[in-house]
Amino acid sequence: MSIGRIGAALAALLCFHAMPLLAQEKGAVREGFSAGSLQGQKILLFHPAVWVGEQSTGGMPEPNADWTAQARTLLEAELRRRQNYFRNELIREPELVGLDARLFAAHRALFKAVAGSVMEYQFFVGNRLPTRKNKAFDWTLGSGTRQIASLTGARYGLFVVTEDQYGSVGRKIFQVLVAGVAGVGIQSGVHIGHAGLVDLHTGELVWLNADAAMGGDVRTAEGAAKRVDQLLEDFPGLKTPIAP
Amino acid sequence: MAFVRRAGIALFAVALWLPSTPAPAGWKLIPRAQPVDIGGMIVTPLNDWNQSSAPPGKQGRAWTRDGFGLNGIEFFAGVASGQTLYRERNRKRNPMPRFQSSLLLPELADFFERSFRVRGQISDFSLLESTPVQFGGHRGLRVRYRYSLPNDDLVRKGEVRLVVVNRRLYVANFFAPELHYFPASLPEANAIMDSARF
Amino acid sequence: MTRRLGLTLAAAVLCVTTAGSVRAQAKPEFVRPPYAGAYEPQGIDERGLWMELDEGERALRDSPLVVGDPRLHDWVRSVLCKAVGFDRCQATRIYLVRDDSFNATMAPNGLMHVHLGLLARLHSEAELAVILAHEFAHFELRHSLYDFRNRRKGSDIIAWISLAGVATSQSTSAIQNGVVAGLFRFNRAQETAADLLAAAYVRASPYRLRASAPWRRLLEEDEALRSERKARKVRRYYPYVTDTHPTNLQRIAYFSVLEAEAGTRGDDGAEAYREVTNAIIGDLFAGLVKGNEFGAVDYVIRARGDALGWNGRLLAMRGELYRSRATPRDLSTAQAFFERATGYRDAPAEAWRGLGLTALRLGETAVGRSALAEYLKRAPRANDAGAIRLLLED
Repeated sequence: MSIGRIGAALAALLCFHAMPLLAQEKGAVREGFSAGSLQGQKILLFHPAVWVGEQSTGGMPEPNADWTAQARTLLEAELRRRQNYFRNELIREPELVGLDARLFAAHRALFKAVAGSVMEYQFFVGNRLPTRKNKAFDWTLGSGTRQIASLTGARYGLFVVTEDQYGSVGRKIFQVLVAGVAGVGIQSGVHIGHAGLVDLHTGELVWLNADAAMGGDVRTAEGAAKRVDQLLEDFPGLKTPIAP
Repeated sequence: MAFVRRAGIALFAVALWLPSTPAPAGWKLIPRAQPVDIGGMIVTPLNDWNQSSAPPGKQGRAWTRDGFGLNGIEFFAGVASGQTLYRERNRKRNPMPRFQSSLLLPELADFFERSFRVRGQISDFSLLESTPVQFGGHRGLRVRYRYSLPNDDLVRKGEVRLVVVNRRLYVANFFAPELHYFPASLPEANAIMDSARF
Repeated sequence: MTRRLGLTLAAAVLCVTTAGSVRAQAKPEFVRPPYAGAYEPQGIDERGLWMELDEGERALRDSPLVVGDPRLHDWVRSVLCKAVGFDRCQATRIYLVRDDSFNATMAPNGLMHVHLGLLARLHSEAELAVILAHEFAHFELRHSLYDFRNRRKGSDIIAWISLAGVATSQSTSAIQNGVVAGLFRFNRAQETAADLLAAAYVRASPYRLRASAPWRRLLEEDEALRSERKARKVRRYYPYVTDTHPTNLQRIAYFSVLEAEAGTRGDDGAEAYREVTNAIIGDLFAGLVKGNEFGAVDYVIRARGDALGWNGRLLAMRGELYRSRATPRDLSTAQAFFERATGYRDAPAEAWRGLGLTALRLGETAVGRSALAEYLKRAPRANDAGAIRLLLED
């Protein structure tokens, strides 16, 4: 490699992200919540929020409609297949229109934002907020969830979110260049997943599994199965816990 | 490398106002009920907040309680003519509007909107209301707005106060998702903005 | 390898189509082959999965980014149906998206997104027809991207491509094989294939083929922006290996050839386009005008005005653009646009607002105050009425 290319690659390294060196927490449970709390309660499974796209060499992520449709189909099928794994009755999010539909959609979007915040500002060791560091796991979606409880008869709501950005050709080329120079692994792509349980009577988040480095290519059946395994790891309501 | 960085540029990063920048070097706790001077503006929070060490702009400071995707207040004190409100990332390819002290009061809303849109690469933004308000003991403008971030369905709202004093711009901007988080912190945000002195 | 195939394909198309037009033989009758129907999921499991896809789409209806204007939606749909035929357009659901970029996409389940930024930049139903047909062509050509076994046979598609101006010569089969080979491997070839198929759909429709003009204008818009930012102008003919689309120049090239062959037969639908989009000028341009691409947006507004005519709303938008940049000369220019806008019957109240604010900035107090007073009279409950009143009290 020429000096110029090494220099350019090193300079670019400063702008791109390296693999996190420190461990990252992945899950939490709200104080006072346990498998026993779920006894006899219905769980509402919200529509999984699935986003799959491509990561350009250095810019904004770009959605890919085909991949997203593929992944959504496969993930929903996987979750459906596992209904028997749950001790509780699992209700699917109903078909609604108008204001009711918007209520559900807004809460799904808010869960994604809250889970992202938990991951970024409480789980991730490098960026904890002083007001959250070493404090109890205390996060909420707000009491608007009560309306969802009364509409569905469910006491708890299970949210699933996945976000995948596959490295584009440009990014992969960059990855190779940089890896060759500095011996550092630049992660191409983003593979994030959250699964969370909310007490619909209060809006409080009682269980969360948040992982910034998920495995499995969600565009394939095997990958979707692996992803769902990881998402439901440690979920307190399963008949048989999933081995990590 | 000596320091740890996030892997990848997640969409969550966009929502958290961290597009393609390295993770902030740290946070500072802003303790409740104590007046604090932020670059020429003095405000008093009711509760504990966290101040990011990555300023949103040269004259700016940004606070959050639960993460910028859930709530945030930005303060800008003394932006001069010719300067940008938010930090300009690429003058050639993505220029930030520059403040002009000759802007009339109603035009401050347009200036804020344009700056905010460029900052977040936002297509979906609407001004809801623009009314006079007291800010720092001066007659300023209060603007209410709603928006959503790219690739994100969550409806977000904001309330910002702007005023020009001695040809310099002062801004306090509170933003949060419309569902639960905006109404939950709006009273405190207003109290903080009411407390501002400059 | 990708690059070479793309170039071969483009070159082959150009060669053959040029040869075809030189021969000027009797052109084949353009009739669409019968539509075999959208991809139907096979078996109980797949049908269940398809229902999941559809359920997911329901959420789109509630997205803040989707424009819920039924008249606008129905009109866009009518253009698609006229372009590809009613049997084909039944499979589509169209969503209009609040986004300023020139784009439309289609998912394998028939879901189509059309950005408002696309509608802001087009000038006729015929132009819209080709773009929508292109997206539909993707749908017809690759909906089973991830399920090879069930993919529809491309035989009727091949028939189309041979009709799409590629005259009957031995090169046709080369292109067909190239397209078939490329379909599931090279994105750029897919885009070109969709272009050719779209042109074929439109030629069998009541619309005139107006495929190259929007791409020309995109190039000019790009140059206007680079010029304003004093950036180096770049016109790329050959796409780079990481590109997934043919460059605009390549598209313009093969579309121009196809248009020459298609001739002037067919409707433009410019009148209808103007009428429908005039009613939503605010939605189309408000975001663009508030962005930071002055040169590009000025070009887009000017191009629309020159093609479809000016009116109060469009002039007020142009005024807003100049008022935002607000160099001293801009303020005068903006004032002139606002003044012209107020002369039209459809002038929005914002024209007086703009006029008033620019006049005050230019030191013309009396003119400014009078215009702002007129603004308040026309829009007493405007969302910034309070601020404007305060200004007048001083």
